Order: sequence, then C-alpha cells, then structure tokens
Amino acid sequence: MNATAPLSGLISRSYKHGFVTQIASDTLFPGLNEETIRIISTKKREPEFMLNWRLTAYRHWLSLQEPNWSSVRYEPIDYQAISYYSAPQSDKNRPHSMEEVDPELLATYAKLGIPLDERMALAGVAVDAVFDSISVITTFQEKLARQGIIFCSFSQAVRDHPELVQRYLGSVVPYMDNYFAALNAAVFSDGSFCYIPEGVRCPMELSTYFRINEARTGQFERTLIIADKNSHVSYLEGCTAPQRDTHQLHAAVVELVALEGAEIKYSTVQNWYPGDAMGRGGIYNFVTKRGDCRGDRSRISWTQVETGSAITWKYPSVILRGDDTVGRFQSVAVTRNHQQADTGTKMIHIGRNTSSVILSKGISAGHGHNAYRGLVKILAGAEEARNYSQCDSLLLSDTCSAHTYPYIEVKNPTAHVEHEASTSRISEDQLFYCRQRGLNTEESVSLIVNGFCQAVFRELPMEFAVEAKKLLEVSLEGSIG
Amino acid sequence: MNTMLEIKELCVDFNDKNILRGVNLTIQAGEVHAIMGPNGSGKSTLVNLLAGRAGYQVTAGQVLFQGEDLLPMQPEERAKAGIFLGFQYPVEIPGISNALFMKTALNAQRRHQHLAEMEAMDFRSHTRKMAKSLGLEDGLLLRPVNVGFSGGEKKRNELFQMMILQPCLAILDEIDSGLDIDALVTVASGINALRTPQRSILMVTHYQRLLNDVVPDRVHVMMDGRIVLTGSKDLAMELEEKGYGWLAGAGQ
Amino acid sequence: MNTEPNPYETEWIARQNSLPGEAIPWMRRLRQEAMERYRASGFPTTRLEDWKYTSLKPILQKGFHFPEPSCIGLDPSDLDALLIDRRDMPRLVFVNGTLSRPLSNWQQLPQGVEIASLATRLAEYPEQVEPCLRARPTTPDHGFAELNRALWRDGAFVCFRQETRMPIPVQLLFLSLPSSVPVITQPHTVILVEAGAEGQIIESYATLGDCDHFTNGLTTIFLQHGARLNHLLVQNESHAAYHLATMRVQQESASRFVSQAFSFGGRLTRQDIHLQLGGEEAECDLDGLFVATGRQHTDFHTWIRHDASHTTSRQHYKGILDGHGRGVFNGAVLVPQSVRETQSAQVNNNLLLTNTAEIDTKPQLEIFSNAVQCTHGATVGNLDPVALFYLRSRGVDQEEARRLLIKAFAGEILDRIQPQSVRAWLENRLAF
Repeated sequence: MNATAPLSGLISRSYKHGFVTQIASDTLFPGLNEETIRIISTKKREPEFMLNWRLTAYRHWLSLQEPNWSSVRYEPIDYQAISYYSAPQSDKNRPHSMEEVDPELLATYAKLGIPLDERMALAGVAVDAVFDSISVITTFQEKLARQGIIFCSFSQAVRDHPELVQRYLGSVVPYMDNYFAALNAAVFSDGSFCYIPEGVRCPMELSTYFRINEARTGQFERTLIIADKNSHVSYLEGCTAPQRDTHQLHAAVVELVALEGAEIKYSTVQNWYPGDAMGRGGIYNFVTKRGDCRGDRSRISWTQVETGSAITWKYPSVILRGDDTVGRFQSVAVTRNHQQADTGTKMIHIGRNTSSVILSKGISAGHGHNAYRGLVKILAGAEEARNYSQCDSLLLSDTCSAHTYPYIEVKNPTAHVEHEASTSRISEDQLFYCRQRGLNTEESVSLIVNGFCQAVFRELPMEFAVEAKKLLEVSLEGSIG
Repeated sequence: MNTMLEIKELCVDFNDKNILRGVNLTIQAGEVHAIMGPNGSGKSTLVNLLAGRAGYQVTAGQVLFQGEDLLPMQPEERAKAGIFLGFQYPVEIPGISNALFMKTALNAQRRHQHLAEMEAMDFRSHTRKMAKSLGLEDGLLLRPVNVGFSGGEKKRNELFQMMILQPCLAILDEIDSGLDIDALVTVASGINALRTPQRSILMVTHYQRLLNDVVPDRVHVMMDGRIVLTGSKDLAMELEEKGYGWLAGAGQ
Repeated sequence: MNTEPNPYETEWIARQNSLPGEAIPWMRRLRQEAMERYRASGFPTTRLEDWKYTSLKPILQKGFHFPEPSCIGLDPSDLDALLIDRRDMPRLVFVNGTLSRPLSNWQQLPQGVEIASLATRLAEYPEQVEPCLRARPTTPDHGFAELNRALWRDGAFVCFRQETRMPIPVQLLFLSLPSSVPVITQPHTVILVEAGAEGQIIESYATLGDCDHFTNGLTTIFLQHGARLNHLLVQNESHAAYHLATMRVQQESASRFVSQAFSFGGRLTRQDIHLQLGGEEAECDLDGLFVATGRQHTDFHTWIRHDASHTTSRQHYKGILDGHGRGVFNGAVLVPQSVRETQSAQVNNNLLLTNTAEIDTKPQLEIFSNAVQCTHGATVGNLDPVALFYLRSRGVDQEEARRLLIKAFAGEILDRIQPQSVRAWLENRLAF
C-alpha cells in the first residue's frame, strides 16, 4: 500500500488514559501468604465465612500449576512481588456522600469520561467506581433501592447482605475452577454486587468502572450479579490503567446467575493499558467470567470489546442449565503492537431447547497475536440444542497472526451445531472502492473495520457503542501496513 | 472550451503484459464519450488506470486531467479532484450503511473544498430526492453498501453516489451490463440528468442500446489496446450491425 | 515420559539385527534414531492437546505380538471382495505384514511404473529409496509413527518415473488374518511421483474374519514438480481391530494431490494426514468419510502447512456417528509468515444419529500471514426430519428412508471418486 508512509507518524499515538493520579493511598507490602489474606479480610471487616472461604481457596491455589495451554506467551509472574491491596487513604473513613469523595478521585473519573456526580452523570447509568482494590463510590444507590435493587460494592454486600453473598458466591465460578479463579478467591479486594428482585426490570444501565492506579499492585476484583425470576438487567464494565513500563496483573472473576425467566446483558469495553510499541508494560488481563442460566427461559448475553491489555485471556461463558435458555457471546478483539489475546467462550448446553450464538471478530495489526478459542458442548440430555458460531479474523499487517480453535462436542442427535470461520486481510477491492469515493487509506480501513465489527457493536448500549467505535479507531491508527 | 481529459500515447502493462499500446483520447468539458470494443481490448484497464487502481505499470505516454498530470495522484486525490468511477462490479462493504458511506465520502470532499461538513440530518434530506429520482427505495440508504443489492440496484446506487459527489469527470464502466430494459431506461435518464456543460462523461459499454438513450458526442472503438476508430453515434449503430470483425487490423 | 520401559522395547532388542536393511549403515542409523525419538515421546496420552479425545490405553493394555512369517494358504477367491478388479489390475497384497507374491500382480506394467516390496527394493536399489526414507518431516511424528520407522518390516514401494502417465489404478492391500495371539503389523509405504508424472493409488486395509489386531501404518508420499496423484485410502478392518496410521505428503511446486480417505472399520482408529505444500502453485484436494457405529471410536486429524506462496488447499470431511460410535475430527491449517496469496477452505459435516453417539470436532486455523483467504466450517446435526417425512409419505418405510438419507449424505463424498469402477467397488463395500 503506497499510503503507508504518512501513516507512520501516527503509530506513536499514545494511550490516552495513561495518566497517574497523585493520591495518598494505603498499599500493602508486596507478597502473598495466609497473613496477607487475613489482613485483607480484616481491613474489609468481613464475616468469618469469607475469611474461611478465602483461606481454603488460597490453600487450593498453592496446589495448582499456572496454566500454559493457551496460545499466549509471557514471562513468569512473581506472585510475591505483587501488592495485593491498595486503596485510596480516604477509605479509612469511607465517604458517605459525594461531597466526601476525594476531589482527586472525582477528577480522575471525570477525565476518563465517567462523571460520578449524580447531577451530571450519564443519563440512565448507575456507576460503581473501583479504584485499585476498592470501590470508591456507587451512584444512584438510593434510587435503585426504591425498586429493591441492590447495587453496591462487593465489600458492602458482604456486610449488608451476607446471606445473598454466601448463597451465590462461588456458585458459578468455584474457587477450584482454575488457577486465576483460585487466586482471585483468596485475595479479591472488592468489586460490584448486584441483585435484581423478582419481576423487576432495572430502570437504568448498571456499570462498574475499573481503574488500576498504583504501580506494582494487582487488581483482583469480583463481580456477582443475581437476576431473580423474570427480572432484567443490563450491565456495563469499563477498564483503564496508567501507562507503566512493568506488567500488572488483573485477575478478576465475574459470576452471573439468571433465575427463571431472567435476562442479564453484560457488556465490557476493556481498555487496560496495552503496553508500548515495543511490548513493554501493559496489563495481564486473566479473567474468569461465567454466567449460569439456572432457571428455565433465562438468557445471558456477553458482549465484549477488547482493545487494551498486553495479554487478554478470558472466555466469558454461559451454562445453559435451564430449559429454553439462551446464551450469546459477541466479541471484538483488537491486538496491535505486541498485544496478545486468547479469548472466546464456552457454551455448555444442559437443558432442553437451549440455544446459543457466538459471534467473534478478531482484528490483528502490528505484531498482534489474536486467538479465538471456544467450546460448544451439547450434553446427552440437551434435547433440541442449537448453536450457531461465526468467527472472523482480519489481518492488517504481515507480522501479526490469527488463530481459531473452536471445539465442538456433541452428544445429542437432536442438536444442530453450525460453525463458520474465515481469516483474511482487508479486501483490496473494498479499499479501492472507498478511496475512489475520496476517503484516504486510513479512513477507508477504519470504515471497513467498523463494518466488520458492526454486528457486535449493535449489541452494545448506545454510549458504549460510540466509545467502542472511537476506541477501535484509535487502536487502528497507524497500524495498517 | 476547456479540456477535461487528455490521454497521449498511453502504454500500460498489467501482469507483465502490454494491455494499452498507445491510447490517444481527448475529452472536452461537457462532452459525453463512449468507448466500445470487444472483450480484452483494454477498456477496463483504461478506466481502472484513470481511477488509480494499483497494479498497472505505465510504460509510456501521459494523462492530463484539467491540465494537471493525473498519474502521480492517489485514488482519493483523484476522487476529491472530481473523478468518479462507476464500477462495473460495485463492491460490498458489510456493516456500513450506504448513507454513512456516502456521508463520509461527501464530507471528505467538502473538507478538501474547505466547506463545512454536512450533518446527518442535512445529508438525509439532501439525498432523499436524489434516491427517489433513481427509483431507489429510501430503505436502501440504510442497508449496508451493495450487500444483497440486485444487479440493477447496484448500478443505480453507483449513479446515486455520482449524484451526491457531483464529479467533473464521470467514468462509467459498463453501467448498462446486467440491466433489464426498465432499469436501463432509469439509468439512462439518470445519466442524462447529470449531463451539464461543465461535466464530462466517459462511458464504456458493450451494447449500442444505452447509446440510443444517452446520445454521445463521440464514439470510440478500442481494439488490441488502441483506439482504432472514432465517430459519431452512428458508428455505434454500424458496430451493432457488423460486429468488430471488419475492423481487425485497423489499428496497425 | 514415564519410567516404565516403553512397549515393544524388547522386540527392538530381539529384532533389530534382522530387520530389512540391517546391513546398510545409514538404514541402521535411521532405525536407531527413530527408536530414540520413540523412547523420548512414547505413546501419546490424553494430556496432549492433540489426543484430548482419544485414549490409546486399550492398545497399550492389550499387548500385541509381532507376527511370525506364516504360510497360511489363502485362496485367491477369499480376496474377491477386497480387490477392485481381480484380473489385470496391478496390486501388491501384504498378509500380516509380509508380501504375498501369489496374490500380487505386477506383470505388464507400463514403462516408468515401478511397484515392489519396500524391503526388496531397499535390498536391491538402496540408492533409490534412500532419499525417501531419509526425508525428515517438518513436524514431529507421533511416538507410534517413530516406532514404525524403527521396526517396519515391509510395505509397498511405488514409483511413477518422470512424465509417466499411469492409466489404471494400483492397489495396495494390507490384510490381517486371524492368529493365535493378537498381532501388530507395521506397514511402511513409500510413494514417489516424479516430476510431471501422474498416477492413482488405492491403499486399503482389511481383516479376514473378526480377529483383533493392531495396524500401525506409515505412508509417505512425495510429489515432485508438476506431479499428480490420486490417492484413495480405505480402512475397513474388523470392528475388533486397532488402527493407527500416519500419512505424510510432501508436495513440490505445481503438484496436485487428490486424496479420498474412508474409515469404516476398527474398534479404535486414528488417521493422521500431514501435508506440506512446499512449492508454489501446489494444491491439494482432500475428501473423506468416517463412520463409527457400535462401539467404534474413529479419530481423524489433518494438518496442512502452506509453506509456499500461491498454494491452495481444500478439505471436505464428513462423519457418520451411529450406535455408541464416537467420532473425532481435527483439521488444522497453518500459514506461516511471509507466505503470500494462499487459499484454504475446510468443511466438516457430521451426522449424529443416536443419543449414545458422540462427535468432537475442531476445525482450526493458525494464520501468521495476512495474504491469505482461509475459511472453515463445521456442522453437527441429525437427518432432516422433513426429508424423512417426505420419503415416508411416498411409501418408503422408516428404516429404508433413513438409509437413503444417510447414503445421500455420504454420496457427496463418494460421488467424487473416479473412475466409476472404483466408486462402484467402494459403494458395495459400504453397508448403509
């Protein structure tokens, strides 16, 4: 392509959320042992059952080996060099209202485009803001409470609604699930909790905004969403981190429980710091996300736009346990520079008349490495199960790679499973057509890639869709060649 | 009269084969020219070269567009300077609506002309009438570019884009192929509506049928990479009757 | 790696000095090296990604013996059903791993076509077979393929000399007979198609009677510049048999390889096809059908590397799973960096007919180059109920209608077999 040269100047376009907030924080010394866990639990004033659960998880974690089956490659992580707890100091006397929140913090979120002040908040979006290890503020709590909706930080839920936490915590992602889930169970510091009562349609989008600020900390948050019978909730998750030249670990767990007739839509725009052009720094994003369609006719939908992180390793999954349940997974994953992504989903069909749809769009540029890994499993009792999967990869440079590993396991003859995949570079004909109409190469590529992702963007709530499109444009700037 | 396009002794290779072997063609502003000729005579090479598609090697000759050297220009520079190519096979762009595509293109052009960009609402009202005159349903604007369009819809969509972009020089590559009679009439009247004293149109066609409705100022016959004969619209009639056989060797 | 001695280690010690080529130093060394690699890797376990769905434990637990050269009298009419054309078709028949001269036929071969026992060829023209036996695959072999490289006793050698056109197919039949103890045979076959030559091979594996035995086969195929080969593989051993086979294909520029692979027999079978498109304009076209009924377990793995630009691969595999049958399909396509303008398409369709059958399929793409056009697709489903009803409404009974539709599903693959006589022969071997 002869228009590459003028683009090279844009390659240096930097990560716009890479600033550090100067804020007094209470950070634990690096290192991990039972004492660390006891300190975290004490700081959070947790009931006994939580500490015990954490310790069991920790002991189990010690018996595990770090997994190496994914196609991503990274230097060994020194788990003793990470600090497992960091909180803005103002947490000591937690803010009770917006006026008491450290203005530095409010400014940080405002800079990220997430105003926390309810008066100027995005219309119809309630936000739980998680800064390093703890949730700093949750907006619109009172308004939501009037409908019986609980939306708060995980720590608050442990204190105020221990019965719900005890009943559902680990019921979708048990601590023994995998290496990073065990680590998270042992040391998770905060996250969001949400309960939608029976028959309630949550009137606003709920969202969690994650921010890693401290250096050398890991972020281990845990989100638990329970949608009771015939309720409905749409949930958004956004992530950013400062630009640092060392890698930081983010090992989160998200559990969704949908009871009979309930629907959960979970959307993520993940824009952790991806590292620089040479592959220095960036977040290791090792996340376990799983939803359980526990009741009949329940539905869970995951939508993700993954543009950040040095390494992304996550498979938001749905267990289709109830009859007539529906699972969806829609994903756009972009890797450029030296980013690596190994992402996909698992759809486990257990109930009768279950159906699932998988739509994955991978875009690789620079030296990016993008893998789709998915499992569709139809168990013997899953009569009339349906799955349709489509995985498309677009390669924008001759140094990137795209891999597709779809596993399909079917034990029921009434199942209908269909998988389609394609890998190709951007079409020369499309590029020429756009350029003939007056668009330059970069605009043309951006337009074509946007079209490529359209089916996924369509699933995002409006504000997120706009953000996702912009993110995509920034991610692709200068990465054509 | 202003000269729109001047092609002098143009020789072009494609995949190491000599395709154009000395083409001469001059089009004045406001003129409509038609190029006819058998398959493989070099017509498509000529139009693609004029629009700047990659892969063609110019070995000799020159092309002037409004007096400027056209060949070093990028495809989008040519488009913004006012060259429009109506594709023989319009390309599909899944996920991007026709309206967004055209708005992006029009605004790229407006920026080039130092005009304010057009907002979505203004754009919609601006284009609605145009679409209607071509018999394009309004819904078509919201569908992804050319995806699932019928052959006739694709060709009318090319003309629709031309109406929006208002080029100085429109090159229409077999705009009539694959059309039934009704669609051909619509397309022809669309082209006629776009004829102005300032705009030049170069049509490549296999059939004389289109030229009954869009009467050209000049008809050229291309064979073996050269223009071997130039005449009035009557030449098209003659070709329709006699085929190209009688012209064999005419360009030698 | 485990600490127990690898299976067949004692056989190696006992037999290494009596194997074909033992007097040829390079051959001894090749066997020695293969044995070392076998020792290092052993038999694969389900812990390996590539063996996730297939356990070889039953083979290891069973303990198979090396066959002693037998002189069981076989009546040629026993083979009628196994041979495509009894009269004049060139063929080699191996019985329990040993070439049977009376059953084979290599009379009146056209000039430029050479067919022989590999052991004999190695003894008579070592310089001709040396490059083929020495060729190291681009990807590591499984342990059992190395075991074959170390311990093979015979197999077929076929060579189509430069610019030769062989008008009729050559059949290679590997037959196992009942014996007092279950036996392992390790046929090692080499097919060389020289520049510009063209030929057709039918490689078939069968059992007389219902005995259990273990076939550990290795076939290596070389296509030089512009060569063309049609290869038909038919594995139809007894339902008590164990069958592991690796087919390695190396293609040079402008060569064309057409493969049709059918796997119907065996208790536990695994077929690997590793193909390397090593020269520009090389292309391959692979079809296949695997059927698992009763308690059969059939595993099909293809692995295609586009190592040169302007190469094309096409694959279409179908599976039919009935009874308690289990099918595994894994089709991988790899395009390394710097390879340009490749095209690859892969489809895997599966018919799952009962509640107790299972299919695990994984079509996999590993693409490091952006100048590609790769697609793959997989489907799993049962017979179309509408079609079933349609047939029944025309008076066809349920069983017959089912059979017809299964036949139609298989037909898409079978219909591509050329010539007609071969297709008819294979269709008759299928009991749908």
